[in-house]
Amino acid sequence: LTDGDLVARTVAFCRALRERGFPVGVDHSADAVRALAAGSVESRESARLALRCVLVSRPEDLRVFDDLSEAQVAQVLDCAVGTVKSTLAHAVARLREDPRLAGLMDRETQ
Amino acid sequence: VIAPVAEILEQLSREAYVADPAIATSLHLAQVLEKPLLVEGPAGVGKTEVAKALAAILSADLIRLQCYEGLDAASALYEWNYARQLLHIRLHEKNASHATEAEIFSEPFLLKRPLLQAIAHSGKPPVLLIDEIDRADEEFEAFLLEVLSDFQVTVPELGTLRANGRPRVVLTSNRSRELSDALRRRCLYLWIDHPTFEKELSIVRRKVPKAGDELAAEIVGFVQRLRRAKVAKVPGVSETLDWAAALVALHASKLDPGIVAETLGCVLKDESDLRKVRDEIDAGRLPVGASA
Repeated sequence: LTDGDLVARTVAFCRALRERGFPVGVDHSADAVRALAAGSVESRESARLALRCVLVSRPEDLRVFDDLSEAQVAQVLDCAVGTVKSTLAHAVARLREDPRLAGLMDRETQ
Repeated sequence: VIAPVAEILEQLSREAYVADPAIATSLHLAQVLEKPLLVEGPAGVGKTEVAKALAAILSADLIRLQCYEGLDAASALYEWNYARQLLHIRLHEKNASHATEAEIFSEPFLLKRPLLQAIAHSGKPPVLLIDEIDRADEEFEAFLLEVLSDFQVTVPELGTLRANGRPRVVLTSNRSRELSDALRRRCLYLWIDHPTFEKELSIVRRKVPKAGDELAAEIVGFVQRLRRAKVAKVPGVSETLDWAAALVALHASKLDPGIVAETLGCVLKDESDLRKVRDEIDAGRLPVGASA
């Protein structure tokens, strides 16, 4: 797996959260990638906790996050667990250029 | 160098803070992402202690801003020490000279309140605890957002003061009022719930070691049952610890209905809760001690 996969899957995951009403913006996607790439991710569970800390901001969203289908979270997480610290800068740079993110930004300003 | 999550867990444990991976992860990310950490949860679950523990493991100073209704920017940021300015002017008058404005509006006459203390702090960036932000009003919250975004403050008479390094910020809220989405979005989020039996037991063992294993387990078991019994004012961990300390002082080695009735005020602070729970114990509906 490459850092590009991590970015794509994190962005997709953030989009899924937005569709469930989470106030998750582009800045959160970038933070999520940084969090996953920061070496704080030693296991799937620690990656899940990191995403939860970054992407949840209201108590009522905690349960929604925890109830998200295992498969959805696992997709992002397995990728994150396989991605190493050294790709951080690269991953964040890619995130900024990611065309899917541009679409996200447009939607946000509407 | 930012410690990994596993190391933070160990460091917290050395500081006698019984943490879990979610707490350690949030403290790790607050450093990695340099974002404030918003800690919410019921009263008495140890939200404030998160900030204290962070300061301890970073060997950083802790600066605390306690919020309250009516808290305004001046009391949080800075005020001029009028009494001292007046005294300075009087002294100069006596000596037939006069104090310049620049003199009396200089740093020695500035009363730094917690936010400015955190910004003007020299040396290692401090941990700034903004405690019970839900008690301050929305106007103050908006002001706070501004300060948190750039950590600089302009004092008209002195110029702009900038933080050397970004302070680590921990905000706590008991949810007496909903916080703005703007503030939530700016922060990392940590929810701390009442602890599980196992976690609370290890907290009691760490903090009140003199309560033996048997007594500690009985105390925690009883408090956990109280929380499920829908009392009006649900006891927090601090109440459990107070109770344990009181029972140790009374040389209790296990719980019985008599000693529970005598000391229940440590755990329940509401008169009608006390009455209700005493009745339940008397009627045998709320078991006390190991038999439960």
